[in-house]
Amino acid sequence: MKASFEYVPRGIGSCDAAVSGVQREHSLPESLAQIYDEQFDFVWRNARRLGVPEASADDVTQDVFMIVQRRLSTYDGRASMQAWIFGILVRVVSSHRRSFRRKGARNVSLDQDSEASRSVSASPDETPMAQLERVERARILSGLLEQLDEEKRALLILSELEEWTLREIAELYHSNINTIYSRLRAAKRDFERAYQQAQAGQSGKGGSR
Amino acid sequence: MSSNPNGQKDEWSSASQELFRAARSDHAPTSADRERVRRALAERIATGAGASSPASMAGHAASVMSRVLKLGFGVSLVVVATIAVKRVQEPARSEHASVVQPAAAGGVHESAVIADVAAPSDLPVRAVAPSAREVASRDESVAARTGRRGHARATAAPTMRASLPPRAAVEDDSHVVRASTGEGTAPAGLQPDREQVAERTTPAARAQESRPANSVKETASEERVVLKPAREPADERAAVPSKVEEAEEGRAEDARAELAFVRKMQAALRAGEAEDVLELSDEHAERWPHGTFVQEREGLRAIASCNTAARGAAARAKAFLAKYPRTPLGPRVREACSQQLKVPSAAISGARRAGE
Repeated sequence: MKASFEYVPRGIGSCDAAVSGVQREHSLPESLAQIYDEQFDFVWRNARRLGVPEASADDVTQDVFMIVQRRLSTYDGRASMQAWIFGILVRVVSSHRRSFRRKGARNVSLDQDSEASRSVSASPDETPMAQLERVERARILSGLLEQLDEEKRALLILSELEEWTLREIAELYHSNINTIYSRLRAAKRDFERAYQQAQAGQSGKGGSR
Repeated sequence: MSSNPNGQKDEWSSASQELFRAARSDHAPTSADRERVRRALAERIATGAGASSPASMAGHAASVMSRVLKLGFGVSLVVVATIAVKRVQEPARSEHASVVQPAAAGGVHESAVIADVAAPSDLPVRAVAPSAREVASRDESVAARTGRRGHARATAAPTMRASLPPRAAVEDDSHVVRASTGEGTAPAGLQPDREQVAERTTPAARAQESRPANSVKETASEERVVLKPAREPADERAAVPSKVEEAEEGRAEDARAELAFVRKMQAALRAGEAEDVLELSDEHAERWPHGTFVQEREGLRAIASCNTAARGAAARAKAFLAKYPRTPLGPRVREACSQQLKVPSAAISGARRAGE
């Protein structure tokens, strides 16, 4: 009886298994399994960095790999597999963002504080102080990235968090290095401006207290 | 950190660099996340579900629904506009005839009757007057239900004045007032006193009616706001913070104060002012005996005690290490208290390097 009440993650078909009380184990197709193992972390963490709430990260990640499986035959190898998957991820996240907007902010948890604190998991090797500072940094970065448009956000994530080279980013966008460089520079300029405004606002708040 | 294609460094502040550098390890999924998504994905593929998750399919359905609704709304607008245009284009219907409509609210006869009673024939308002009066009639019905008679005039006026000379508009407004009071059509027993009607139309009413168009618009907007009283209490409720919110805000404020205090202690220790750290530790213990940063406080206190060779420093350090065996402050405490704990500092440095 335990199996019938066991939590089954989202996914069509899970209801049938729960109702019948039989847990049918499915495995990924071989072609996808290897890609999944190699790229899952990359997809998940960048979905979160692109602003997907933790509650929706499962759905977005699943969608990305569903598309990967369906379009694997069209992958031409011009960009790396990771770059190709990142392109899919950006489009899936964009689609999810539109659906969040339709649902309205009140129905979707986009609370930066709680999101940031959940994403920065507690470590026993950290003091509460260090943990708090890390959560605070994550919250600030998430809020600043949120202010940029999708392309600039993606460029900064790839360049500064994933540490891709300009050449790798250029391959992803099928563009030349100089173009990517100038776009990245614009993204950094916007980020700096937003950061300075946030700091000015913070010091203003502190002064008014 | 990227450089440009010519090898030059970008202008990228160190604070931003630090922010990104520190965030590189964030958002890492757990193995439970990996397995959960793998199972769900395998099920979706096995059952032949589409590329969209249930959530995104719901989003797609919502998108389709919203498009259908928008289309329906557009069609309704076109139909309403067509009807309105047809009515306006109809030849002036019996300029002096009374048009009687059923009372929308029931029993409020004066709001439902539009009677073009004794309208001066020289008014150049016939082409648009019926439409404007219908608007006035509808608004008057609403106003009658809410007990606000003046609203009809206020809302009808802008519509009419868009196409009428000011004088004509004023005259026409006065007709609406007369019509709305039921003059000439109401049963005798319910007819208002003619003097009252005269009062409404002149001179005070006329003075009100002869305001500039923008002031009439202001009146109209004020009236419209008044017509939505149901939201006001809710807004007021939202504006007043609940006790829970106040308590949460108080806790957040307290946590911020504690954080600032601990940072002050850290700064004092970095500046080599161990005595100050001890004083601040005592103060912190008084203000926040069960605070969030007790571990930080006790660690800093132990280090400062050892730095000043205070009495009981060894016992304090041992107690701290026993209570927080995995604390990241451990190596710093052991190093600062190596004399008191009789641990060679070289061994501590080696342990720190190995830990890193």
